[in-house]
Amino acid sequence: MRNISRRHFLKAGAALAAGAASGFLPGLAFAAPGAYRGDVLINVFLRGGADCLNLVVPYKESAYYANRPTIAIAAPGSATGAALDLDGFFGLHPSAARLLPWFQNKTLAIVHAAGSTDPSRSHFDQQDYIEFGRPGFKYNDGWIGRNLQTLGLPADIFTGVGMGSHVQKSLMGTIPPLGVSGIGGFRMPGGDALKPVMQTLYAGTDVLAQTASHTFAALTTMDRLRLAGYAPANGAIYPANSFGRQMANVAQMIKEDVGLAAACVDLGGWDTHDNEGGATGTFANNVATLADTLNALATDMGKNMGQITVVVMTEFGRRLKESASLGTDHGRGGAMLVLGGGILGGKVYGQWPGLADSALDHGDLAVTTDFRTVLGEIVLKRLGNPAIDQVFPGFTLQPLGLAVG
Amino acid sequence: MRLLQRLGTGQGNTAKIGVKHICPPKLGHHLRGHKKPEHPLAPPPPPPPYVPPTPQPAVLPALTSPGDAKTLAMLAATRLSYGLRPGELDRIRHMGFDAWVAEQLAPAQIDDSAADARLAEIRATQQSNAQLLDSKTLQAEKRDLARELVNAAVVRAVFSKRQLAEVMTEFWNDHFNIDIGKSLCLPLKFQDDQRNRTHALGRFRDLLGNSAHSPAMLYYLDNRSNQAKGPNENYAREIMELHTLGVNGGYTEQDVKEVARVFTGWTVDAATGEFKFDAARHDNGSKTVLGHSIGPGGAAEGEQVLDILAAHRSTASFIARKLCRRLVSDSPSNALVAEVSAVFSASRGDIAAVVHAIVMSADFAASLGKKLRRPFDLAVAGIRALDATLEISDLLARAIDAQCNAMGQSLFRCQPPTGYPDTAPAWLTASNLLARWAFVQALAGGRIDGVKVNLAPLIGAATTPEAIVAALNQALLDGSLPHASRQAIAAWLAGSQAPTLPLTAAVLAQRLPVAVGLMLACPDFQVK
Repeated sequence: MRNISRRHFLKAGAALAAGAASGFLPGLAFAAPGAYRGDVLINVFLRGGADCLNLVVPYKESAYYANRPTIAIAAPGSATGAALDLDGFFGLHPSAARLLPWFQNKTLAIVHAAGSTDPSRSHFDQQDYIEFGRPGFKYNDGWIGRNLQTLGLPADIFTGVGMGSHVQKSLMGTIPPLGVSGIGGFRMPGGDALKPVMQTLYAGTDVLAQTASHTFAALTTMDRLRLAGYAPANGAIYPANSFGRQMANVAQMIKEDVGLAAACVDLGGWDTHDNEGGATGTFANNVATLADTLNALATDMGKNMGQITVVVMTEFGRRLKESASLGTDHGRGGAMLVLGGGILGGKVYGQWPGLADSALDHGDLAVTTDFRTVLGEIVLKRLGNPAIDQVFPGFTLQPLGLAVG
Repeated sequence: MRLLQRLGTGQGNTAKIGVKHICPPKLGHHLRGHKKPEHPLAPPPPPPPYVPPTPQPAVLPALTSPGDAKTLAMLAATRLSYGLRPGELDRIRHMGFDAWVAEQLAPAQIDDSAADARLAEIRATQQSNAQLLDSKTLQAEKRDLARELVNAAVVRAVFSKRQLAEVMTEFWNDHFNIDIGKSLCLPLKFQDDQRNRTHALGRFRDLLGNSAHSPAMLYYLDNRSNQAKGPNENYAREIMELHTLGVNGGYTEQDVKEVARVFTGWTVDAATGEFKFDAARHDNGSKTVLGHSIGPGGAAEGEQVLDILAAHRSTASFIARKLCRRLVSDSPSNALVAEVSAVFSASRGDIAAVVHAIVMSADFAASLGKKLRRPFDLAVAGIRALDATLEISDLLARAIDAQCNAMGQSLFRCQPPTGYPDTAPAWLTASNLLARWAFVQALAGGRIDGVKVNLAPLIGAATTPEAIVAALNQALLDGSLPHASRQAIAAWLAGSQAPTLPLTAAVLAQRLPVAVGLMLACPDFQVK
């Protein structure tokens, strides 16, 4: 961690409370773009519609077991592969075991029955609605992009970083996001001698030239990060898959003070119509990747989690009833995970609508918490941006009280 | 509307196709009598296997493009083909654009024996689903089908003379996307790909029908296990959202559930790897889809729904917009889309007529440079431009796949059913752009496994940096490179000396590959 004294935590009192609750020390800071004082936001999107009923299991609901004779996760203590108790009603999927300590030390909060107010069960519509930040509408900019913009952050190269082969729509906005597949491959082909020639070739103003200009500007920093290598702290081990590697890259960018304010990382493979599995299988493997990576990040960051907020979300949950293909079709209500030192964790938030037939939305868990309620509170309290009406147009925030600030 | 009037109405045979391959109504009635058909006393006679329809050549009106010949030839060679090859521009200009398009719209008439000979080196292209599902034999033969699939795609794109049909096959492979990483999709993709190719410029109803019966699709979107006792909605939703109507095309959640019931029992025969209608798993109740009463009628219900979807107004405009986006620009004009959509409807989904209308439009003629080459397209265009020779082996496929993956396109492995995106911003991350530059440098430097390049013919007798750049500009970019770019590359080639002085052979050998890499790295080569 370099230059840790460059920045002071704005809401020191509140942070102290959070630190006391979860063991994080306030006052450590990363070099941020401009005068930014808020948390670094890491938005994890589970693409494909994660089955949140099997991720955060309502094990006290008999309807859960009645509708899922094959794929249900057993109640805590009842069998091998049982859920891990959270609060006497909900339990974590056993493959998420590495998240349990973070829930218990109040760093991890969960919001159940969360999702979009639009009823679409289309992956692509719903991902757009959530990333653009307004159900039913599509924009040219996303909620994170508008957040960075209304915070008044400068359009520095690393202000917003999208990990993966495509930049996430949530990052789109007046501050161009940097799209990075990995630090390892981020270098000038043919060597630095070609850079000035390439700069002449890409002197235009179109979308290609804009991306190129951004790329040239990032090369020096990326060279430094690549050559330095990365050794996670506190014995943290990121999973050796692309999600783990991308999160380790984000961790390195935070620690190396590149000026990161927001990063997006995707994890796909959640569209489990078929052979979803229960305590083991396809879904369980994906849950393990998610949980092990978040655990590695939080371990690696240590007390600096006080200035990081991770939000995990998906476009929708899945149908309560399992299909004859031993999977689940597209549903409505999902869950959100929020991880950070400034989060009042250890609690499953939201209003649980229940799984009785009458409570379901066409066979699906109903949505009782608008995803913007969770994101809005984070924007306001953790990112220090009061312009909720611009980040989420047409939305009125009534916070759940899950964040300090 | 002008194009529509000229075209008149097509000779659609959708309805006939719809009933050609269904199980006889008697069988459906017979099975409906069974309460629990899982253990019938006597197995019902097997329904006839799915036989894909035979494509029929389109009868197209004479149309003339309003564009200028030079631009149209470049569009033909880059947008409607996988890039320039030596001599190809001359051939197109000699023929004339209109005649070249007419030739390409009738791919079956084009002798493609040279490409077919290369394809014969790739065994999977000659094998049946049953053979490709025989993993023991494949293992014993030490074969990797993913490599064979990539090699086949590269060979066709590079060598086929049916270039427009190949461009369109890629479009349909995107439209009816299948991720070969899922389940048994890989061995079954060969047949799926070939049927998309056979009908690439045929009728939409045939493409849709082939896809609905495609074992690879039945695995990919899980309809294989869609059955009366617990329907799986995956295919039902995506056939409407992504394959036909579009997300705002006028269907409801109830329609999704009803279409899922219609396609119960459409599955794959485990023994042959071919399509099978399993009447015992079909929901024999009546359904309502988009206001139409369906069934009970066994497999005929699905055919009826395919007819309804293929003929729907929303499908015409959805497919028209996607084709215009692929062939004209990232944001085609509403006027063009409306015109093309009308051609789609009037011709009853004749794709040759639809493509003909698009490429003869004024919008198309004015669209040179408006499309970014996607990674696979860039890889193939580079190979063609350098007239490289290919040595077909696992090494070649691995190299091309790795390069495309780094540029953002893992071949045949798009996980979401949307298929890979078709607009420039989706492909332009900083990392992807660096990977594009790395690929062209490696290609020109002869560092792509299985690809042999000989750069000397590109520059002829030129020896000075200025003359070399002029020759490369002509050969690779039809002379379109801007002055500042030419100067920059010539100056780099020249090093410390003047760009008008000849380079020694040793210096040339060292610098020419990098200079060619720079030419291909130019924005002018990244777009088409």
